[in-house]
Amino acid sequence: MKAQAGEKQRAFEREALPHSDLLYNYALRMTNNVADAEDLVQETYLKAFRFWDSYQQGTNIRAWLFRIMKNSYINRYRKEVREPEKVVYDDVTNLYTRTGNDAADPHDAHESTFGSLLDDEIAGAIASLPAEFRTVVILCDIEGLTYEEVADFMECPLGTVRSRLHRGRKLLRAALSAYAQARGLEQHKQ
Amino acid sequence: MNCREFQENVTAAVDSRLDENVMAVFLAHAAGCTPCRRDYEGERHVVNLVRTRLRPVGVPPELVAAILDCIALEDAAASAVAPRAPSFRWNHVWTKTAVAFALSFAAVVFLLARNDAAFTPMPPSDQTGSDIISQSVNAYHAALKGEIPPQIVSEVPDCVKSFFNGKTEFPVLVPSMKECTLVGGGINDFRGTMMAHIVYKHGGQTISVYQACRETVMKGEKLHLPREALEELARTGWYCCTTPEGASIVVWTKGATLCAAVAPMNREHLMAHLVDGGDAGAW
Repeated sequence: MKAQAGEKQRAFEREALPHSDLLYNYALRMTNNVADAEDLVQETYLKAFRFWDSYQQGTNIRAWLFRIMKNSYINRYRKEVREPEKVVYDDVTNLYTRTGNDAADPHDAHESTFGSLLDDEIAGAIASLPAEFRTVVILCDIEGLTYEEVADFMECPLGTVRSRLHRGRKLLRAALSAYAQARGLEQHKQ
Repeated sequence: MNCREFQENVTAAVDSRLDENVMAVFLAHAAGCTPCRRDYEGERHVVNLVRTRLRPVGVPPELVAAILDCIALEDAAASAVAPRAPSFRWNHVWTKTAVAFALSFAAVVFLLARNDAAFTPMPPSDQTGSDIISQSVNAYHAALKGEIPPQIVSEVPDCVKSFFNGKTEFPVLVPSMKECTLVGGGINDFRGTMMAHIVYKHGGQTISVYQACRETVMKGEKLHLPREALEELARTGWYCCTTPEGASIVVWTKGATLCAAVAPMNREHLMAHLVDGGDAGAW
């Protein structure tokens, strides 16, 4: 029995642990907090180890681990994740309207001042996105995953990934503008 | 390409996922439509900013080490064969003993509370947490105040031990401890999981040892240990910490049981009592 257990541990370390960077980055950007991210990664690996027997060898282990982490995250932050579904699309609609107005305004968004934002402020802007949009932005724009990989991770069609990414980036652009305005950076532009 | 079709293709264009012909049409529209062009440039700018400023970071090596330790601990726990708990019988001789001693325990608790009066309770905010360390400290104070009813009073370890037979999913440990007198113990339900507590007396000081199912705590669902405690436990087999009032808490595991000792003394003294038990190695 002990030999079996040791074998399981070795197989798990060999196959699952190499993906800890991916999980850690996702956890870090989702929680925007190092301690919470570490807890989430550790919880994910413990659960994965516990259910290692249910993992089908040869399938996408990164997607499997990611889904365990996503479920762990949802369980921890259930309230936060549940509520956006109702309001997200209103937010997006408003944002489209706002962006449209901005576009007609010569003093529109503050892209030229984004470069002066601190990394923490950029991370904070991402952390402020609704969870579903934040997830695709993190996976595509920080982790560098392809749409196909993200679709596999999230078990959704490619079109959904693309639309969420588009909307997520729109929201992020608005959040960054808000940070820039808050810091008074728009003054430099005028 | 109209504005709506342009908007549908912005993200794919930013990520270079449009084929050459579509991209040419896309760019032609952008050249002639200022709002669409600004949207495209805006999204490109945001993506470039994120990609250049928030690069992926490596997982901290300490975290990997902690994960490995936890997995090893989990693996060891899974491979251990837990003894099957016998069914509980109300007419058991030690149960009768427990009932006989129940009333006298109230008096003992009163004495314990007097002797440890200087050991003030943890802040109320910890009282609802599932952290087993906070729970142990809170349960300690509750026992001193008589809020947790005593269920068995005996100086005989086997008597106390048999009281728990069939009541917990883990073996309750009741060894002798050097220079300490066994007082008794009890059991309480925390969110559907059982915790046993064994009380010893050393002079005027009380040592309480709380016990829970190791697997339940490791799963972290109803009861959990802070991450630093898990790491230290995996690394050394023990975890020690001190409350703001100076009381010590020592956590360790034995088989399927996780133990947390609480006492108003420094950790060296507490460890000495635990390690130098009369029946050495029982803990």
